[in-house]
Amino acid sequence: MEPVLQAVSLSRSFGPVAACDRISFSLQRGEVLALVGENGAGKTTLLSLLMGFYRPDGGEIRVDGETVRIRGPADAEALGLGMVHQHFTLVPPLTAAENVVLGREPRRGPFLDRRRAEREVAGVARASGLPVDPRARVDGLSVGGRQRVEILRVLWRGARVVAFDEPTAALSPGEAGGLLATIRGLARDGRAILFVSHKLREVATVADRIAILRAGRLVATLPAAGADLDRVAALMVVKERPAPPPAAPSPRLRRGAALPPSAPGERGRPDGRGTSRGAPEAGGGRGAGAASLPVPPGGEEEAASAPSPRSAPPALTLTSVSCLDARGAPALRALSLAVGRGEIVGVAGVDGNGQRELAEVATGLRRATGGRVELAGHDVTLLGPGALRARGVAHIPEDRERGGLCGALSVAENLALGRASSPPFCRGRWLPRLDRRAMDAVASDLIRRFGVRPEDPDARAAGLSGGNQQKVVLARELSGDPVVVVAVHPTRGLDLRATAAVHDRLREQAARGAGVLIVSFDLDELRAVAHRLVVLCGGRIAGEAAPAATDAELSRLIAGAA
Amino acid sequence: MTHSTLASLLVSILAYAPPVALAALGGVLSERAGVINIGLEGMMRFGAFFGAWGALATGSAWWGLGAGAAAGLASGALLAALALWARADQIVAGVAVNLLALGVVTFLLEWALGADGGITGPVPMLPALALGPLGRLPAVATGAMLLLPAAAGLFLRATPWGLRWRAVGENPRAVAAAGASVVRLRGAAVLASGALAGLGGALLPLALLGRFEDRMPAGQGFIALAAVVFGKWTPLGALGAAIFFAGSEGLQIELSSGGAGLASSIPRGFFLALPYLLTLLALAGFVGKAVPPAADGVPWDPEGR
Repeated sequence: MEPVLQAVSLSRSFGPVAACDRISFSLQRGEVLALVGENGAGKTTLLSLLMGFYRPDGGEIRVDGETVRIRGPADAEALGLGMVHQHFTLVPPLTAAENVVLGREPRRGPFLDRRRAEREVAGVARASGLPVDPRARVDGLSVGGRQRVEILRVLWRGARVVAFDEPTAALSPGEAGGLLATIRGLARDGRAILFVSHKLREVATVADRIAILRAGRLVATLPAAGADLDRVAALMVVKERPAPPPAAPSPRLRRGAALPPSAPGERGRPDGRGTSRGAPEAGGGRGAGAASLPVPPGGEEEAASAPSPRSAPPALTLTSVSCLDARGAPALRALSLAVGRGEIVGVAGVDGNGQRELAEVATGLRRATGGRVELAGHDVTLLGPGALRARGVAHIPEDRERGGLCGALSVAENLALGRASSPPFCRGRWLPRLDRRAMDAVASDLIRRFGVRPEDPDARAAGLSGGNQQKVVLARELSGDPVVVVAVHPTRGLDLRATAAVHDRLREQAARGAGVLIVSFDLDELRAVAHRLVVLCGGRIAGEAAPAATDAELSRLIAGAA
Repeated sequence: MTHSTLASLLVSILAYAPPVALAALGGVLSERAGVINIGLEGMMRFGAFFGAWGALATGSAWWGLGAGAAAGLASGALLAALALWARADQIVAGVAVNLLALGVVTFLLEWALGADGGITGPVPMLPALALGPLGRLPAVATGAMLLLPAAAGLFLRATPWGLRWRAVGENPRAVAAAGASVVRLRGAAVLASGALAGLGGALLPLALLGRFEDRMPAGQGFIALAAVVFGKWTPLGALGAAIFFAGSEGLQIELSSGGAGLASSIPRGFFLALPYLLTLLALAGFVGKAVPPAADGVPWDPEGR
């Protein structure tokens, strides 16, 4: 049978990066093809090429065996290709029916034929088994309800090929199950489905075949029935450095280190949670998803530097913390985690599983909706970023150019940010003013200590290289001897040397006794610096592993297939 | 207050509200499509001047009305070019329109009309109803004020174009994904907005005062902007707000001319500030909740994420 959709050697580059590199596949009617791969493997780019959001650099797309040119979403729609977006493209104050017919509205005279629109949408909803009230306003619907509207829009427009981009990412487990059943139903009706997901378990239940993308290439296509998920996970993972770096010191040997006298929290009461591994495991819910890999003993290079007063509470403790994301959907679900003094905990997981929110809650940027956050044994759940900063929480934010620095200001000014209203940066009680000379003196000192180039306190931050910008952020955040360091993708976009410098600084902080929480997508980075890895999935800790865990083991946890 | 005072207050509202009401309707149409039109004041000024000039040149108030609307349309095209095509900041582009109108009209007034002291001679006026002791009712202006918002409301609510118009002000990406052109929709909205503001401005010389004065429209465009917010971004709401604002103005005139004791105790400035005060309260949520369209003032970047 002629494939309904076929990609032949499809390529697209962004600058020097080949997002899609000669990708070929074909899709039959009634078939579900899953596209899996890590972030940046090219899944979303591939869908965007098929839907006309991007034009390919090379290769061709065939629909029903004929080569087609797709210049925009309207062309894709006319060919019967439709996409259910990860971030829905709906208009919240309009009704479900209005959203579905937008752009192709049925008319009666000059007027919108609302009744016909509602009748047709209800008809498609019934036929496809998607319960949607056509008259309901979209802003009153749940995430799952909105997704059903998004699917109805594609179906109402007559799509024969439906692409789903991470469709279960925002759904609750129950809703996700319903969606997978719907997708199978669509395939039974003769539609062809492209299904993009990180979750291998899900893929195994819904797909007929699994196509694995890695770094823009399609590396393998396997039948889903009886597929070895470990092997799929291993195929997904990019191996940048062939030999894994030696395991970092085991946390077993590194019970919390003493804090320097300047830091708060010394009076912490002994509460039996003084060890770095003492926190309860993620509670409730999908307990089956929580798996622990054994932590082998070993690693002694830094252990000697960490005396262990067992009584001291961990640097940072989160106890069944929940919070919402920016769109109001649950992001953390009763997550518990402790970071001991002197310990570096690496947070792994696929983007959007709560990493950002975890860092924001830990730094006071996001309010927890439940649970308890403790800093060195003191409850700080309700404190904002300024108060937490004053109590010794350092934050190396995800995007240094947006959250870490103010590019238009000088290096010296950036180094004073956040503490410019207190001595030595500011003088004068009645008419506070910046003390430029003190700012320059502090800046010169930090520039020397952290090796910032150029060695000029007056240089504009925006003019520095990425590595030097990050050094400025580190200098500001770490020079106050923090109790907790929260680092989010601290080496993103940095070259090898700058990366090594950042890692050294984080190890230094741990050796000094601070608790370090590092979020990264780069497993090699986490292995290199962390004493202990936790994997976030769906806002919970899906598992915990030693840095020495193999790629396949970690990938399995990350993909939620464990 | 006697019956005749009430009746003359009503007449003065029906006479003085239309310029603000039409400009406010223009503001609603533009903002519902996601473009903030700060330039309403300047567009009214263009409409008022070219309305007077057109009427003087042709001897017909109707041609003047057309010229005023056309001048407003042209200034709307300027705003569209700046804000949509060149993707300039919408607020800055609107302020540019206001400043341009200030300068250009003052210059043309002297250069083309040779007006003495910033005031033209008498211009032909639109037909009005004489109501005896209550004064004259500018029936064309009042009629337009009552009909156009109703038509615009029907358009937004019940036509396919209206659906897209509302959608593009809330989530332009959804409109683009549905295959419609965001820039074309927003451009149409800004043009309509300019034409309505120009029409409203033209009513000042042609329906109310019988001449053009250099100080026109004397802040009425900004009152219209306030009416958009106070009317919660709906055509009929903006009409109601315009009538309310005109009423407070008329009340002040009636009270001070009547010489009643109450009037002297309330300073004139209070009534001038009232529209803005109420708008602040509306924005702060004291007078019901005022929620602007989600994408109001957000430039459209087709490649943005």
